Amino acid sequence: MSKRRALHVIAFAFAAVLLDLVLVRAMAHGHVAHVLLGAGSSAPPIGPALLAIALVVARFAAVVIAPGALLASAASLLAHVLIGPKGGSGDRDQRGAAASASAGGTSTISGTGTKSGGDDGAALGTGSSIEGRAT
Amino acid sequence: MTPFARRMVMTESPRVRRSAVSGRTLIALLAFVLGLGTIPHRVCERDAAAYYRGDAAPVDALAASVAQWTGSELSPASFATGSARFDGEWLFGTYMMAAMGFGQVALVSRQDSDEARAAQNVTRMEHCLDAMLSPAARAFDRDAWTLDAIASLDAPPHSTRDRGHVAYLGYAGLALGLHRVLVPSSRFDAVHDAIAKGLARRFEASRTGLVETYPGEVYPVDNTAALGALALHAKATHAAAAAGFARGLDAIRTHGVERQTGLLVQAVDATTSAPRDPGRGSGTALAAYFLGYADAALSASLYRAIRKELFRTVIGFGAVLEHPSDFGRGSGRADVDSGPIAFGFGVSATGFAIGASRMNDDDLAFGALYATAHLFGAPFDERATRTFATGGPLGDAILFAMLTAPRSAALGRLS
Repeated sequence: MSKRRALHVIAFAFAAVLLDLVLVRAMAHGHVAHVLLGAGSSAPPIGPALLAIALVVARFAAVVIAPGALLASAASLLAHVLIGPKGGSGDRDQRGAAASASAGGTSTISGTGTKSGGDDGAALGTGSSIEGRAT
Repeated sequence: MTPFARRMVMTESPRVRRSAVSGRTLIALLAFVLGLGTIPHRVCERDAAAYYRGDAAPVDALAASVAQWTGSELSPASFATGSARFDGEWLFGTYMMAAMGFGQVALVSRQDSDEARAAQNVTRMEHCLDAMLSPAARAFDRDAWTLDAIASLDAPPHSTRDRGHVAYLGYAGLALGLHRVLVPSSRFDAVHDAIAKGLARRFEASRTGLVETYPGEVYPVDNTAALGALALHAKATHAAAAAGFARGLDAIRTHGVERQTGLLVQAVDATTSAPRDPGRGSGTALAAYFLGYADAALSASLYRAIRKELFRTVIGFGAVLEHPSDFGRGSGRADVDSGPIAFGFGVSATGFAIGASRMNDDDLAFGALYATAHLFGAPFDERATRTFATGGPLGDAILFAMLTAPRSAALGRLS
């Protein structure tokens, strides 16, 4: 997981938690369970039904997925701090690897890419372990 | 090619690079699994210990929310299930379960010498008893029998009209019995005595020892409610249990409990007592709760069967299967008793097992089951109330009754 992706996951987790809080409040205040129950065997009103589905999804993401995702992100960020940015130790992300692999031979893998600095550069497969030649 | 394009040549082996990628990904994956397995259920379980201990604050918040529901105008139309009978059952069930919850809180408050809290909950309970005894709440039973359940108590003993109605009379009798334990003399005494007398007579007169819920339909779980009602009536009036009580209890043990699994049969034949619907989670868990008031040993036996055959934990969340999985019996088949079923786990079975686990002093299962109720019930706290956002009036009332089900010590002090 790249640093950028880890930050995205953290943002997603917090968004899910926030959305869960908002949807639980909306569902409780709107007595949505009661409205859905009242629909009986006929089709429920679309608004409350969508709210209920959104709550289930958001709650599952916020309560079940988010803690693990946050830990995974934290582990990735810790690795970034301790080991260095991706690509700095020959570590690269899948995009770079895929790009390399797609045009590679057996012992020497070659490919084309755009070199740019920092992590983004590393993410594009131009780390220190890759020798770049102008074409 | 653009001036920025580069031809790149790897100077290290792909094997080394891949293992480095795998190492970092593996650490992230392990961290995710660690988080998944250790955090969510603990977050959801955090209030379980307080409910298990019976702490006043969380219980009173739930009671306040249920009081709001039952204080508002509920009608069969509030529960449009598509079946008028089930709408009426759910209306009746909301008031009955709410009455049990308020009664159980009052019982513990009384035992803790908190008279003000006990009085408040008795008042709320009496409102529910009135609603439960109203013609609107009796309609589902009357429509099925073309005879009102309370009116049937006036029928000549052993006449053709002196039979059945065990669901309405049993559930109502249980709530009235709990009330009478708290308030030995009240305006409900006459109807309570009539119900207890009628139920005892019908158990005694029944060829199978079990009483019909609806004409030709016998559900052991409804009979266990009636047995709880008879036991509480005896305790409240300091009388010996009626002969019908022993006969009904014996019939449950003989015809109601599956030999192989120890679960309670969901339905039996009205004439032969042969099983018509095998042992299931929803009926067994609810019966274990009801029988806590009647026969602690039988309640414990049913609860042990649930623990052994149906209780499972998934990443720390506890849930109860509606059907024993090893029998391969229609795990996806849901009905009005089971409620929704997901991956074989029943909503009703899981909810009722909360009460059965508390009555049987199983704090581990109680915590795990509460975690699931917290996850899918989505509790919402506001102004000293707690409502379960996905529960509605019936869901809140059932969870209130189950979360406050008396522990064995409190039940022991009843006798």
